[in-house]
Amino acid sequence: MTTGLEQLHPASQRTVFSKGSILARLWRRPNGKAGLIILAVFVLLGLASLVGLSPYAPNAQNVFHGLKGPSASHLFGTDAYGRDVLSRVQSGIVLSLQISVVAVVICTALGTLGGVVAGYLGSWISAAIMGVTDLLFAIPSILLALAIVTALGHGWFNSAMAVGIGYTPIFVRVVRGPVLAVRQADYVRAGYLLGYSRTRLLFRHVLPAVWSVLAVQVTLALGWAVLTEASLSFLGLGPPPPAASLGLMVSEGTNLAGVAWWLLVAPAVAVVALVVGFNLVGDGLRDALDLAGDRG
Amino acid sequence: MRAGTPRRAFSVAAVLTGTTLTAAACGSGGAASGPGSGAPAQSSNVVVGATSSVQKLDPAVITNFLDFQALGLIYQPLVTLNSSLQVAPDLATGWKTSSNGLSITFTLRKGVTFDNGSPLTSQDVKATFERILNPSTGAAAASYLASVNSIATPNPQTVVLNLSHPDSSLLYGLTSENMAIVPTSAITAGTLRTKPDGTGPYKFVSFQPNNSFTVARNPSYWGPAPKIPTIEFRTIPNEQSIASALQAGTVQLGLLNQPTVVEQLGSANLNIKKELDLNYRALMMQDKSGPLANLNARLAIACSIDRQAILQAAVLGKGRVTGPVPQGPFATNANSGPCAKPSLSKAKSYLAKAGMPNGFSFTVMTSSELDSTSNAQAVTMQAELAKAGIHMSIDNVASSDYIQRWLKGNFTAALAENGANPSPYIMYGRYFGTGASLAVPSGYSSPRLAQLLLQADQSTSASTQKQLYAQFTDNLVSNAVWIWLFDGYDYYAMSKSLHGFAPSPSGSLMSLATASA
Repeated sequence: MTTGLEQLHPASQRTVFSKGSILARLWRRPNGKAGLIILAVFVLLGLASLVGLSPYAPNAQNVFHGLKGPSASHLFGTDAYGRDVLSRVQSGIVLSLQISVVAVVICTALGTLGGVVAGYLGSWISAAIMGVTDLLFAIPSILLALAIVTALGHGWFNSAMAVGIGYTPIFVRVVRGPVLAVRQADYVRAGYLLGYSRTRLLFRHVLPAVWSVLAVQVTLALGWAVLTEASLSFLGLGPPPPAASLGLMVSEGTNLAGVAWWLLVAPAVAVVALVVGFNLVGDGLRDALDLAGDRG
Repeated sequence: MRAGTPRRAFSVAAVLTGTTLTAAACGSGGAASGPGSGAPAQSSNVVVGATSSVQKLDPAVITNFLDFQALGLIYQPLVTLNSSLQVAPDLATGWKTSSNGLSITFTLRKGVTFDNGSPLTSQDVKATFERILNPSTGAAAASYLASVNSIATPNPQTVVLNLSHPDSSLLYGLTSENMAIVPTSAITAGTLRTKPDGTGPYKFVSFQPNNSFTVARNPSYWGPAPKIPTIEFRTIPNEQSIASALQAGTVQLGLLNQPTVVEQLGSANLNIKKELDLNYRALMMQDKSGPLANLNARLAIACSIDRQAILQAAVLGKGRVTGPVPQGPFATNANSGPCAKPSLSKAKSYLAKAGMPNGFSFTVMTSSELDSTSNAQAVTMQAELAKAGIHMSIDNVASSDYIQRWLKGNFTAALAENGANPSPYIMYGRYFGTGASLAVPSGYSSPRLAQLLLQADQSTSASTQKQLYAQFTDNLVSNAVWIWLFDGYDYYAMSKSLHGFAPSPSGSLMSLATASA
């Protein structure tokens, strides 16, 4: 049934899913462009290792050639075990992205569900969800992640679970706000009057209104997730050895920084680049998707 | 666990008895190293930084290196080891062995009092040894007294140990801090696990688990009055942080294991000494169940491991690969046995014989807090084992967890730093001897091993003893009971204001009693 109603709500007028358009707007903003370039460089560097484009196997040891500085054969030097630092940073980027993406999928799924239910259904369900959210908010996310990893044990998926659960409350709040607003919008009220089911209203008229804010939040959350995962690994609670985890590499590099600066610099630059890259893209995306403030 | 030198942290089971061997002191600068040399009469307090924490306060049950070091300032045994590895007087001024070797008579030092004010008597010695022999005490070194039939106290200054057979290692065993003499009244009151009460130069002040352990000088000490008013052992879980604390001046003595940390310290404001210690690093294995119950599987591990590479990765090669007895008259050849050199083909051949041609999996327990080099050992070992198809997971746990699990044998394999002694019987009797008190963590028992140990201990012929101990260690290595890895250095970084501290191969910090700051 075509009612023309879809044209009434704001989301339908945006080009959120028109990738070319969003990307083009993002690219026109300095922060978005910088973020995309940084991410492209480091993500491609990591992904290259998946197709064999890394100088050495990340875990190949040669302890008698340990702690050698950058050279033609080892561009980023070697660590205490004689492993090639560049290859391990590449592997670390992949691991970090793997954990971060899974973590963000988890918090996006749980948070969106919680936010929509709390905002759209209201009543006691909303109170219960927001109560739990407030409770989780009271615990610093790194502390929550530490507790979860300690309970579940080490491993990349457990790290992802820990980070994902830690950031779920933010998504609940971020999604609930727009849903609350849209619930009272004229086009949704009109939908009620036309006899649309709750499911149709939710998926076709309410959810599209939160996509843009969700897209920004997801991008920003990827940056936080990289940082939180690195923090967990730094504390020894990330994937166990010999996995090349950026946080663990920074931790080991800290102990040896006086004699092998490259051990600290290489993984630290990778972490900073990923976090800054995601944040810049997130900021750029927010600008690009903000119709009211669109200067592009 | 938590290495090399370090003991300060480590793993379990030290027989901290001093020994000496090669003490290489590298120092920069001129800190006086003789007791009391040129030290001022007034002294400041001293903070000792260590990655591990004191775990237990009862000297009979301690197994953690730092426990030996800290309690060593409070408690004393009858005899001690001097720097030449000779048994020397401590609370006993002399001893005499009967002509048939079946009794030893000790004469106690006069004028010694416990911290509670009561004088040391032969009754205290008797009560201490009987407590150690009582299985309910759970003493770590009860096996040292296995030959003791009865204890006589003819007068307050004389103790006679009557033996079931001549026991060549007994005196060495008595040098352990596990054999420290405690007051009868504290045994009766049951306070030893909470309130140390000894005869040493320092007395107990406070203990905050995983944080600090503090002692103050004992005004009624029988020896030269200590100069340093209080000594605090502060737990700083990371060696780099200890280095920072040393440079900031909040720690005066840092107990370090990692040569890389020491190299970064420099010597501008600090003196650094190192000592090749008596301890050894080993991969201990529970050989009674699981894949490691299979001899060929253990041999496959032994042949896969390049110990020189582990030494390099763990302590930059500063140390040496070792066999079961690292030093002393019964020292073993480090390069003997079926897997003296790493060989992948041999490893695969053993795996095939074990019926596991594609390898197997197991988990190794480590504790970076106990031995800061253990993670490097494990990571290197993991890569070497992987070449043979053996998958080793690393479980790095906190020091207290490690020690609890170690004592209960709740591990498949564990990287440990264990204390050594000139006497192989003292080193291994408690692991493999009859009625061994640490039979559970040792994970392996064999009547043949126990018999060889006992025969060697009872032998009065040095050459026979040497032969029997050689058979014993051959048996350990050829059965890959454990895998002995290397012997490393202890590093002592100290502020230049600390005078008179001299490290000991045993890791003992007793020279703090004559040092000043």
